[in-house]
Amino acid sequence: MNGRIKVKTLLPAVLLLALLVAGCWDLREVEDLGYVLATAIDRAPGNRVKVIVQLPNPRVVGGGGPRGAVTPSASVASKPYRNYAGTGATMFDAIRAISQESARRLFFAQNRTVIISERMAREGLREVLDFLSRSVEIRRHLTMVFVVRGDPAQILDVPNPHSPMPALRIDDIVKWRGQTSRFAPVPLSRFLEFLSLEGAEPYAGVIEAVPNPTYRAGQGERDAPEPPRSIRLRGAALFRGDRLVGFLNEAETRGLLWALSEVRGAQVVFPLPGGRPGEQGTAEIQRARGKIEPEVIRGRIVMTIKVFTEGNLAEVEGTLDLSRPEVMEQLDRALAAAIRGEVLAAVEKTQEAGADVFGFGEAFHRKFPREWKRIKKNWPELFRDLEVRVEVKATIRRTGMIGKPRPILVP
Amino acid sequence: MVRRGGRPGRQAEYEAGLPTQAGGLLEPSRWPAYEKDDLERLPIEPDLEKNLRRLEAIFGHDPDFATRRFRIGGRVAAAALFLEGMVERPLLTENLLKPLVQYRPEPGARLTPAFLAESVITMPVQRKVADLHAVCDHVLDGCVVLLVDGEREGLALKAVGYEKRSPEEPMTEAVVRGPREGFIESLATSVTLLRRRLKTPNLVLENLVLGRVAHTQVVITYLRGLAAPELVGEVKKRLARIDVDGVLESNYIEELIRDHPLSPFPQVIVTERPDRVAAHLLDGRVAILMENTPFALVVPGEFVAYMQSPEDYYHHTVLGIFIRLLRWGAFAISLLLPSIYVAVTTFHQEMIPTRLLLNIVGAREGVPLPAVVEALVMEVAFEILREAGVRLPRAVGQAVSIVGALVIGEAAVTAGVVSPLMVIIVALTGIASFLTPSFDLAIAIRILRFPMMLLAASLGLFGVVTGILAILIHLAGLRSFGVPYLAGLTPFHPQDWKDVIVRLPMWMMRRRPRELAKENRERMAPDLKPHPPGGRGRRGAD
Repeated sequence: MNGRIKVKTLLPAVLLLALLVAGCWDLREVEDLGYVLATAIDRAPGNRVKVIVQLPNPRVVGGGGPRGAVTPSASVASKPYRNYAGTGATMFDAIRAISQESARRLFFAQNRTVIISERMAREGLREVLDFLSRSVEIRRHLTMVFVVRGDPAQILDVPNPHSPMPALRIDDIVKWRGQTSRFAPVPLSRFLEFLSLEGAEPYAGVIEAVPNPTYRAGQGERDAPEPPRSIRLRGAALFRGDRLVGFLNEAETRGLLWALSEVRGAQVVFPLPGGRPGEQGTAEIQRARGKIEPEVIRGRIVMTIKVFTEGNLAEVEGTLDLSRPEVMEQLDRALAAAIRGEVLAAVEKTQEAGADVFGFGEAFHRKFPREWKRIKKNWPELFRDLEVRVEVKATIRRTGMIGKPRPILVP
Repeated sequence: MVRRGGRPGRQAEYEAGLPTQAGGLLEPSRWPAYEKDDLERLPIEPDLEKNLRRLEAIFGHDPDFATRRFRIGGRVAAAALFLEGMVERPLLTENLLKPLVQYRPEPGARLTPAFLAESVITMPVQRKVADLHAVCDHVLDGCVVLLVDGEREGLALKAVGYEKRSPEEPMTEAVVRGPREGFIESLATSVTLLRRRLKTPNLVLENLVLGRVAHTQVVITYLRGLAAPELVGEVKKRLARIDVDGVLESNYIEELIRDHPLSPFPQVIVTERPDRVAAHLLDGRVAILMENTPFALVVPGEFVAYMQSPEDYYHHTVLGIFIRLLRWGAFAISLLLPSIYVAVTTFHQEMIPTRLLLNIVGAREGVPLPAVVEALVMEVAFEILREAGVRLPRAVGQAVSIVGALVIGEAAVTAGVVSPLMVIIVALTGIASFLTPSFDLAIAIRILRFPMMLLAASLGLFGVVTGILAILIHLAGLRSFGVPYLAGLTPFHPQDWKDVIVRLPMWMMRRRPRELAKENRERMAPDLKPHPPGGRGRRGAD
């Protein structure tokens, strides 16, 4: 037989066979999957792991079904999400245990949030982190890591009409982090990277369910009540290795973020120079850049944190004449001092906790690789007593719609 | 079907006049078919009556065959043969019959056809005819044939005058701005439309008759000095191969001259627009016009040519750029959108942005069919509606489209059989396919959409990419009349790219496409970019 004819007859057969043999095996209809949008990890009694996952109710969230604001009194069918909990000897075991209840196969590639309970984090995350780094479905660049203060089950069940699903709400709040920079969301990939670096320790965002001040218990029956709680992101959790060792408050968190160049915007309040006591100004930060420069000065390691930032004036109390350049320069310096205070507070707290979340060690390692080999064994001790200098260069660019504060005439 | 080669002994049948059998005339359907070779063997005899008897035998009692006998100057017997409805009667009467009847010949002078044509008849003369085949041919072609008693030659006189419509705006290639004339079924008119656009003696028209039975006039036309002689030769060679009984539409020719007959992709440009043909001729292409259809063929037809619409050049270049980009995008959509949707939703759920995913899931919630079946069902439904829309009488068509829209749109979604998103996808795909200016290319895309969907359903995006690669390999292997099918895209000529993905300003497209015009590539003078007088910018070449 002619070779050409053979190819012509065989090729379609081979292709067809390839389709039939190889095709479709991982076909999953889009509606058969349960898209895990948030995962909470907690410790269960008996050294077991408890996993809570949040699945959307697409009929409510994504068109198709009835829409409308979800109130706390809503029925199960119209609730935009469903939280499943499972316990197991390991994390994967716990996840699979959920499938005994769930009609949908859990799918983690859309997961945005991993919430770890404080209790679990203090005990150490070794077993959990292995699963999180090994899984092929979890996307480590997109997943944010948080430590929850309080009950993780509660945080995933806080109703709200905007972004009814807590998982997506957390995502949205993270999106606007540049409004304050008072919390430190960190991608799982970065968390894992810091974990395995010798000269840096991981940090994570902190999440809390806080009482909603606008909620009134004895409200009339006519009006739908405000939700009793809100989800709030605040501060940062400090780790040493895989163990939680402490927290930064909101100002300290921003101090950390200035140094890490993670501030995308912020509101900084500072005392007004030359004003009466108690008069304050507020700057809206537009741009910020930070870097850590290690030096060896007379045998001692000195770290210099340099922060460059630009912002606009958002608010001024008192009666400053902003048209005068020297006044503006004073404002710049006052702003810089306020920022410097935040950074120093953060340094102090992390040194106390012994968690090098700034990555000072890593910065030193990069600049002085040979010296690092000698000192790395003693780094935890060195870090506690490290001399850290902070230099802030702040510039206020614009003063808003008015220059001098409007005079308020008292008749 | 006519057999080739005459049969001996047929002459006697023509001599005898109308075929008879015992008991009267033979049924016309039982008469033997007349054949070219037989007729060519029958010269025009000096005996007029004999000729007429033979022709009567050929045309029989056809009601439109007319034999007008008269005497030239009242003396010499003559006859005009023609088909009613094919000739213009006033012309015939005024310029042929009247002069001949009123003519007073010198006694004894011979009335040769040459003499009559020169001195008496005031009609354009086609040619002299000497045998019955030529007589039949011209009569059937709308000529009047004049036979004079005692002469061995006749005259074929052009008097074509049949009903034809006037040039209208082509329905398939309507434009917002641009000429509103289209070719019509009459070859003479179509040729005129082309002539009016290219007033040069270098516009060559070569005549050809195709179809053993149908005898269809075909014209090959090109611009001398622009079209490569090899190309013209190839076109003629391929046309000469065609030996069929009838060529009723230009697709008969197209299918017989394409390079790759089974490829779904068009390889011959089909158009009704004289301006488009003229533009193609200026690129160095060859056009084939034929009678009885307004559709002309242009070769070579490479892929890029099907993405170009004449209107691209009739509007502002910015619109040209935008429309072209839009068109390539719509082309991709019409080929790939359903398959990408199927692939992504059934294999790559991680690729969809979360909120969109939730929307898709919410829409598909409760839909009983797998996504691929849903897509196939909807696409088939759309194709059915589209085809119905073309075939149905106009009055019914509207009702069908309304019902169809309700069935595949609203009702199917409300019933939960298909998801609203799929309706959007199918509708968008269908609409996008109409952006492809060439109907033939759109057909290829319509067909290829289905295998693409099956590939997507079995292998996901790998399948889609495999399909795209297969199509690209196929396209790269095609040729049209010696020109690579992807000419314009590859082989890479940066000059040609000015008219592919976008349409750049006229003054930038100075050269003709390289794969078409090998020589004589300059289309215009350099530095034609207009600029205000005395202003900044480059000066003209003056």
